[in-house]
Amino acid sequence: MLAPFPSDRVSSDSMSIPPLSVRDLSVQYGGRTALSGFSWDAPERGLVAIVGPNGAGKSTLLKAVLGLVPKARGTAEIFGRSVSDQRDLLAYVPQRASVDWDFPATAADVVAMGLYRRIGWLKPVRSADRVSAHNYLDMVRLSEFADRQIGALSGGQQQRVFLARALAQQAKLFLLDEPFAGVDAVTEGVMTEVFRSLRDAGALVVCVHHDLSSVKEIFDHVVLLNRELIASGPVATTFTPDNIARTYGVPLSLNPGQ
Amino acid sequence: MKDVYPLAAVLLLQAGYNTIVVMLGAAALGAATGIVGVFAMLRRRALIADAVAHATLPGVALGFITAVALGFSGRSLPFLLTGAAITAILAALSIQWVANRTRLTEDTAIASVLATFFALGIVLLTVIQTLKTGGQAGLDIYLLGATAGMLREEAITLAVFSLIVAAIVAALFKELTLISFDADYARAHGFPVRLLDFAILALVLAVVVIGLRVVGLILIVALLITPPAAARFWTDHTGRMTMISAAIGAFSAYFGAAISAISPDTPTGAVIVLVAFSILLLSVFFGAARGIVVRGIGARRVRATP
Amino acid sequence: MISFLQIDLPALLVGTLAALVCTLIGNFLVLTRQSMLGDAMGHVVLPGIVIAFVLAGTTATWVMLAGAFAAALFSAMLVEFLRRVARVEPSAALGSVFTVMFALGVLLLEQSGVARTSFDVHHILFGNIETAIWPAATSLASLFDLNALASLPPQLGRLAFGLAVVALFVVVLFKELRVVSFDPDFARTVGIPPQLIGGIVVSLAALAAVVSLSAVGVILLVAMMVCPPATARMLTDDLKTQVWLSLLFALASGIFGYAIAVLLPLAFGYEISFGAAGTIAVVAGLLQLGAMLFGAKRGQPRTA
Repeated sequence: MLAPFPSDRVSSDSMSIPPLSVRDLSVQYGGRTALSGFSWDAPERGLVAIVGPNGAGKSTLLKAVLGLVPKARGTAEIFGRSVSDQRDLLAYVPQRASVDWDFPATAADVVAMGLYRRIGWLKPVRSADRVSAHNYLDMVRLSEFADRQIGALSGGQQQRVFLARALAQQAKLFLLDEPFAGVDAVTEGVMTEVFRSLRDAGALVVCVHHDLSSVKEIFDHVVLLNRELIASGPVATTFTPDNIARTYGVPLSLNPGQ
Repeated sequence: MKDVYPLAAVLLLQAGYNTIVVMLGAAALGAATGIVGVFAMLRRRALIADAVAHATLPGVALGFITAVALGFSGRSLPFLLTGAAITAILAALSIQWVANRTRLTEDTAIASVLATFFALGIVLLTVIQTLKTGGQAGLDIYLLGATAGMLREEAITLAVFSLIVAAIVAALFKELTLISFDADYARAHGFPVRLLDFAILALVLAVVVIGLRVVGLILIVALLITPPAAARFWTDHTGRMTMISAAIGAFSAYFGAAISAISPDTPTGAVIVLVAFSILLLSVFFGAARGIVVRGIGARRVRATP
Repeated sequence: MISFLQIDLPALLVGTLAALVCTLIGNFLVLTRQSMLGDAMGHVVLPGIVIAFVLAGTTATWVMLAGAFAAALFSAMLVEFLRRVARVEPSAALGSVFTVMFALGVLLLEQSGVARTSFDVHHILFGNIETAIWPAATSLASLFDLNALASLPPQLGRLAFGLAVVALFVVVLFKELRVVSFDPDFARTVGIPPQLIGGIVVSLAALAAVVSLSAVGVILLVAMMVCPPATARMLTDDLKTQVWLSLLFALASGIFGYAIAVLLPLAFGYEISFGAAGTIAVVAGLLQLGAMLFGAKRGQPRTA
């Protein structure tokens, strides 16, 4: 007897498949639980902030989804399939601290790295790829810095180079680890603008975010996290003083109503 | 420098045919180590390379003993190099095991593996020195290198292997650059970082074993470290840096082989290393991208035009 | 008995004293993630010794020490220059300097004709513990005979002096060494300058390298700076216990290594001989392997 449509498949097909779907995810670090029983279906498109105190497992969540740290339990799917099958649909921007700033690479070289998967193995970077890299640098308003060594840029400019590299991947799902940490106002403006145009083009942008005061103006969805999911949903209904207090353990003197 | 004229003659390829082939073979080796060294340095594997190089000694000694026991000449290159490769691989695995499975940090893992393997090699060498067989003196060249007495076939083999190494790096160039710059990003996007790391280590092993004959196992690591360090001062592009590093490595090895050719008592490895380091010092000051002089001028210009 | 006094006792003393002095300071190199510094020291002092010998024409202790110290100091400055001023990647800076210094030493050794006269590359690399002899020993009574004792090999005096100096500093500065090794930032806040303590550690490592190099060769000093401390590290979390244990392992390596080097060839039949320095180093490495496999504290409490 054939059963072509198991019941759960029918129901998920009837709706659209979420770009990112996490089920019961747990991560252990050296015997301690960094993340426990996290389940979440991302909205189809939009700008999502993952918010929580230090050590809440925000970066760990991204890394576990991407397979950079081992999962103790649980699964993560991208558009309904395992992450390793869907690498072409996602772009990851690690924390700035994770790279060697003395590296012999210019801003354009770093952006071109976003094209490497599409260029493919054994093939060199061609001049058409370089032109394309310049275009992405232009989108983050850095075209005049294309030939600057990556370490010679300011922190905000470096972050924009990384964003341009992610744009070059032409992904549907963007995962960014603290993109707004320590950047200047210009960069913040450029990044917000780029994120909005990505959302308008139908992409989902998920950022680990540390600055509670800017959540409302930049993002439309929020995930409140403290080793486990506290709340998730649209900023307007979820980012409430009550939920924030539950996330941080203490009531903060922050009034999201203003 | 009493032999300036002969040196000039040798450098300009006016020596005998055999000498020329040996010098070109050495230059090919220098280019290969310069190329591989770029990624060994960028991926922070330089000191592992040092340990792996020292760890070839017990392999060379065991290769000698095996060859003699089987009735071959103790200097038979295939035995010596196979032995060298085996113990070098064992050392690389040991370092990984110590660093991952114990609380010891990587530097301690590297230093202790280096010391233990090298000590074992030295014990075996002292044993060999008392064996009643010929050819022991031939093993000395693997410590500090020598081009004197090198055969044309050996030099050609050297060049061929060096070309293969260069071709592999060229084929994997993008990916090696990517994992060296940002391993987390590469992993997240499905690049096989462990495999590529393994490729770097395998290439390091290959050039170390190939280079034993010319540079010697104590100083071969300098050909992996010094040319890339010098090349970094001339450019901010990984591709150009790799080519410059290859050129510096080739020049140093060529020069060292030439000097060694006119004064046979000179350990080739030592001369090569001194030439390479002189180029590093020149680059530190006059390098076009990061040299101290250029940086000084650049800083002044920036201040002048705010 | 007499041959033991004349040949084995001095060699054994030289081997174990060198093992002890290198291990004692090696503990702090291992703790501060500078294990490769021992290796570097072994390489860089060579040209200093050769130049000192060529200039002074003697292997007198103080000449050797001065030359080696000058070379170590010069190398340290060169590494710092490459790292801080020229911004060369730290391990590349270290690697390029210690190889070029060694290359310089080798070249000077060959070119100056020193080789094959007083000491040569083989002795520097392989160690020549076996050349430490005490021909003045005629019976056990020689151990109490000042005239005979005065003709003990000069390496012994150098090593004893080195051990005394290193031990003095370690005892006096133990508290500071502990704090700086554990948490340099905290050390600064309580008024202990980490740079000064770090400089003292490096200087003591240079001293240990200098007194050991011509006596036992580069390999024994490199092995002893890292293996016994690493072995002890697998067995305890207490710094004081670690230092004592490491010295015990150094002593054991020295005695057993030398015994193996002398006795094993006898067991095999007289045709082969083992270099004592290499054998001692191998024993130290094997002890470390044992501790890594079975030590109580071998695992990694380090968190990600």
